[in-house]
Amino acid sequence: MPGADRAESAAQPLAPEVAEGAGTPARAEVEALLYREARLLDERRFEEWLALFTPDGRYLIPAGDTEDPEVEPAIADDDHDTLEDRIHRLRSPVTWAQSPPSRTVHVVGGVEVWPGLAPAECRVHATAVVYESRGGQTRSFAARCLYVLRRVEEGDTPWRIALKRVLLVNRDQPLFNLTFLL
Amino acid sequence: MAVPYSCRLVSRRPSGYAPPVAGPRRAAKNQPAANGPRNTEAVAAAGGPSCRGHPDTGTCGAAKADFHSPASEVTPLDAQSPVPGTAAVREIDVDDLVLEDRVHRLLYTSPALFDAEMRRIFERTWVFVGHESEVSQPGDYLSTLVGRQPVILSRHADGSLHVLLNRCMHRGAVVCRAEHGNSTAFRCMYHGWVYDTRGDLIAVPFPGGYGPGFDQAALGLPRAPRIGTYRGFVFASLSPAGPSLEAHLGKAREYLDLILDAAPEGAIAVRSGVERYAYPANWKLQIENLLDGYHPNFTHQIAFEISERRRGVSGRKANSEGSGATARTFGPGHGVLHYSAVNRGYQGRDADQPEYRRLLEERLGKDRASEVLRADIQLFVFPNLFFQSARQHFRVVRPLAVDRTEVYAYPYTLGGAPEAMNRRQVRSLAWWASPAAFGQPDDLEAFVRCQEGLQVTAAEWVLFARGLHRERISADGEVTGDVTDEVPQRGIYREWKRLMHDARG
Ligand code: FES
Ligand SMILES: [Fe+2]
Repeated sequence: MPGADRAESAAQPLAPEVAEGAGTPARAEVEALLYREARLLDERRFEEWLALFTPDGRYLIPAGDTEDPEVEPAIADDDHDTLEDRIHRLRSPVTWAQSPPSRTVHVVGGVEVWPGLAPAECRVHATAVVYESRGGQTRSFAARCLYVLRRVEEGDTPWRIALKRVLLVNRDQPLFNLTFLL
Repeated sequence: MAVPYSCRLVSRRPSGYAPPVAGPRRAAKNQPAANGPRNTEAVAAAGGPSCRGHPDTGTCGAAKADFHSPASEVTPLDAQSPVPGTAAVREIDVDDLVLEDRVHRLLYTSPALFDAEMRRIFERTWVFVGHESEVSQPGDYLSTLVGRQPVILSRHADGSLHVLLNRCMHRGAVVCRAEHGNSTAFRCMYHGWVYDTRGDLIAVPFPGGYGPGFDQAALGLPRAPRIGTYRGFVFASLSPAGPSLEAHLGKAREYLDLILDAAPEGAIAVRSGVERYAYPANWKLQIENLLDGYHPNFTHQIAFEISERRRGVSGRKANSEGSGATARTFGPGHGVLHYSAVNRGYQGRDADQPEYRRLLEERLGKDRASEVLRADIQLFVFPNLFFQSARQHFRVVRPLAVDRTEVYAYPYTLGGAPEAMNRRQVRSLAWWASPAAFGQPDDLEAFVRCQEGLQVTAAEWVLFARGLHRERISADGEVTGDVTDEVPQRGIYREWKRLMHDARG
């Protein structure tokens, strides 16, 4: 479970901002990655979105504040394989909860960058509002997104997502159909 | 006076309606007693909708007569019903809404019937409120709902359990907002009245303002008239009279034992985590679905595909006609999907199996341990509690309005089982039962589509006829069918009708 032990609890504030450490990317670089991530989701380019993750990347939407999905089951708790399956679901015509599919707009802001807790990593805090429209209904979801990014050598993006944690403001409420990607 | 709902009974013989035939069932021999009452009911239903007299007046309501008329006619019930939720429902004869093999669409769309369900079902029968492990220490409490009524389950300093109505006796505010916690008292935020964890009113600010007639001792939080527990599961009834919890659960206790005996120490623990989901449709769509072995191959086709690709197994075969798995109903509306004959239970799932089996055999002996390890069952306890042994959790269905429902899915850990196994089980719940999961959301889509489709008035009936002709009744009255048969649903609606029929509620 990469990232889990290195990620602050949802209930805790992030560590105070410290000066950018060696190898920490500039905020603009991280913003570009996050905007691209949002656009790939909104354009339903899910495979390209998944390519932004490291092979041990993880996508986590906690349902509460304990942050341990083996104590408090999460809304989503995906490793790379499960993300592949989720994308397969999003592409399938018999995934009834996505038939018709959701249209989304991810609005990302408030990007801040911290040095990581492991070599070649950094931590990112961003806020997101996701609008979702499906079956004649438009809903909105607000979340804080906490990322762990890791520097990789290959490809046109030197930074990949090792962990994306989506802390919905209403994660402790019963929610309807979150089968699209946040 | 305007009535804030528009509940209509479409009073005509349904097109394509054939009275269900009360034919002899393949009942177990030598058991006329078990078969008797059911046949009586079946005979009543076989007559089809007919005038049986108004439950209050003994006269035939105008709405009833139209069943015999070929012309379609609509009688607006709200026109004659000055009191919301009471008189209106008496105008609808539940005998006309629930037949042996079908129920009327009004069950899903009528706010008046929903009000009546809350009173006649949820405020009367036994309703699960919490598990003892959630309130294990003195001062522990949790807040939940019985029907629409907020309640607190608390453990008092002396260790006793209490189910208190969550309503300040001063001017009505709920005294406890937290879902769970620990406290010596509940202090109402409005004017500061303080109740202890037994519900007694122990402090009233500025008491000089109350005269000699003020009886503080009589102003404790109201209590659920009856409370009972079975293996740590705490139930409450808001009615002082009725069958005991033991009688209500009946054979459900045997099935519950089969599930809970999987804990080597004999007890489960409910930790803090819970999966919650909501959907904009009627609550009964969920309870029908929990023991519906007919739908998985269609609703969950994609989940099965993914599961087969990743793990080499799925529920595809087990939920096919003739698989050997069975659907059963027994007692007051309870039911079971029984997969033990076709699935592998705990045996098939856990790498820790040898150690786990050893622990279990130590406590239960070889035979019972094998039975428990093989067990793969889903149990529904009327009206809103559901267990799934394979995914190690139970669910509580919370009806909020006729078209609004919430479901809480509680993972539990098996006391004494290897910690890694417990943790894996808790974690796996996200895959099936969350609002973003690979399973449940596709069910929710079905519920929403049903709620939409049931607005159609040209077709009135929802059919639960599947397997009616091949039901088997055992010596103890349990009715069994193929896993794909709508046996549990018929059981649910028999009990629904029995409770709703009684206009005292
Ligand atoms: S309403 Fe509770 S103290 Fe007044
Ligand atoms: Fe289902």
